[in-house]
Amino acid sequence: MSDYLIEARGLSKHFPIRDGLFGRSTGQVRAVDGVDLAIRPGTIFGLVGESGSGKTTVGRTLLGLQPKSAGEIRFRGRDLATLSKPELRALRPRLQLVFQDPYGSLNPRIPVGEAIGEALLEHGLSSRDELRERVLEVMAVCGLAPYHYGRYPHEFSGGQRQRVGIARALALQPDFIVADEPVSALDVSIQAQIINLFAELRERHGTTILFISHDLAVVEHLCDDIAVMYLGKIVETGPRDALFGQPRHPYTRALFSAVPVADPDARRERIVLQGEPPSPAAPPSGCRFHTRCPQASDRCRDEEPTMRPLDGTHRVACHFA
Amino acid sequence: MTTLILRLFGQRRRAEQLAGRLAHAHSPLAEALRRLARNRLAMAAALFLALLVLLCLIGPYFSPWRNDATDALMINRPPSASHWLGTDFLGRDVLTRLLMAGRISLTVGFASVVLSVAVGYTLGALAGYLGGVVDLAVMLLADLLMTLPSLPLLIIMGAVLSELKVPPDYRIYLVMVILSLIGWPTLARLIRGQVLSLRERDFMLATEVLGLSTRRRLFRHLLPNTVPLLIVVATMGVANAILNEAYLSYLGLGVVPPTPSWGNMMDTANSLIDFQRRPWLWMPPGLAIFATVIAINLLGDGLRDALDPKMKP
Repeated sequence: MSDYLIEARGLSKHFPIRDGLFGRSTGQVRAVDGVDLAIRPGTIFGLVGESGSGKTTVGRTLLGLQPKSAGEIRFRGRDLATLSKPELRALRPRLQLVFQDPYGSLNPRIPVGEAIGEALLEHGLSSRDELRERVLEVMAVCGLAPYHYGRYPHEFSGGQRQRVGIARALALQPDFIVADEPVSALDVSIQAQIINLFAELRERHGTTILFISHDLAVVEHLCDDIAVMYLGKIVETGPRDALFGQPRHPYTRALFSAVPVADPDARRERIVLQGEPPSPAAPPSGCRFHTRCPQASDRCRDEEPTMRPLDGTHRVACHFA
Repeated sequence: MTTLILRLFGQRRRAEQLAGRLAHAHSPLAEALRRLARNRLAMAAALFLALLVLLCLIGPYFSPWRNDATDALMINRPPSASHWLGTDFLGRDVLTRLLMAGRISLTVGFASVVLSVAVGYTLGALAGYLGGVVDLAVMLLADLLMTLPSLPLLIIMGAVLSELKVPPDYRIYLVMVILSLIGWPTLARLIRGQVLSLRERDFMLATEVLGLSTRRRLFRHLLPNTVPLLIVVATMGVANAILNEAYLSYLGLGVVPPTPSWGNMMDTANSLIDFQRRPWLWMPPGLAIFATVIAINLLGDGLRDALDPKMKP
């Protein structure tokens, strides 16, 4: 057994670009390109990055919802690729996903009580008699009332639906949850409640969570470890305090300098990046960030930086950091 | 039915309550029924259709005439107190025949849609869900059938039936099969498209995350979401099938005498004398076809608006 609940090595996911009459592959979108991740049990791991950096793809590939192009995923030390289909299905309840969109992720024709409970029956984790009891329990944990049981998704607000989505994942008592931007579709006041719900899960049940977000304030508040993604690669990773205290990668610095501070007198350097992120279908040579990096040199254009350990688990992929 | 009657007497509240109790109180289906109950035009159309069906079913029993009883002394008589819609060239009562024809035309329309739904829905759903070669084969066949202009095709098939000397009793079943052959490709295409788009929705990915069985994913999650579309398309399909049956029978290639149908009753309009002097022979079936098709389409529009407000053009 390793120290990590879930580990990914060199994880890649490339999507072919199909074109023409016969759908020939004319290129690849390298959504995720060689990502290493290791998440300790009972912690919340934050994955941050701008839109299109491959965060969602990392989450879904980790759960085996999409076949990976390369690399290795180990859950409790077991390589997921070696599992047969029935074994993988039996493992499903252990690995859960909370969706970003609380509207699209619930079937409009299924009452929420059934939506939360159906997988319990399906995997034989509950008998028919105690099902209702179990579902109501988990609904209570997520802040839903018993009278919500027979209601349909369209009768709920966005925040309540997100609670249903979380309850659906929690009912299976998973070891690992990928929360894919679970609060970005919600009002700020509701966001706080949902975030606290995740924090509570970690304290009470020791659930391990991969928390995908582009909201740095949320990640700083919630996560134990953080990884920053840019264009399909992790550029910097480490414990929260190390990362927020001393960001080393120029991209991380630029990102963190954009976090608003609740002090009107604070004057900070605001790093504004120039240009748009390049297309993951044609990533730049060398360091992928060199086209926008304020410190880029010739070396960055030619040579791709590898992940270097700094102190402890803090690691960075930059020639100059 | 009760809903309809309550609605008619202005008891909207009670009608809606009843509609709510029919399905689960707040299910999308119950809410759709409530929306439908508020649509006056659609409810009027539904009521008209219900009355028409009722009339065709029990009307002939109250008629003093048998639909195939000829009377050599009462040929081509205009409407009178004893024959409300007059008599035809064999002295048969037009009203009684109209109602009997209604049974046939409605049955043919309805049954052919049930058939084409059975074929079209199954093939469409399979094509959408399985994709690949199945999808390609089904869609190729559907496209092929859709490219053939339906009227000439119907005429050719009707002519073949006539040539084979199929007895009139059997013919109506064959007409149903022919009509469903024309009807299924449209339905299959629509259902396939719906399944394709549903498959990509987050809640279908959720069923995979939860590790649900294929059976449950298909029959509890995917297919129930295609039912609104199915209801709407099938309803409109009945109108189409009734029209197609009328074309065929009018041309003498569908339901053939002595079995009455609205289409073959219109046949009398082919004769100049009947057309000019004896409108009671062809106007009633013409109006029946017209009113039925309009009513079904209005009901279909109402259903579409009620089931999925987003589908509204």
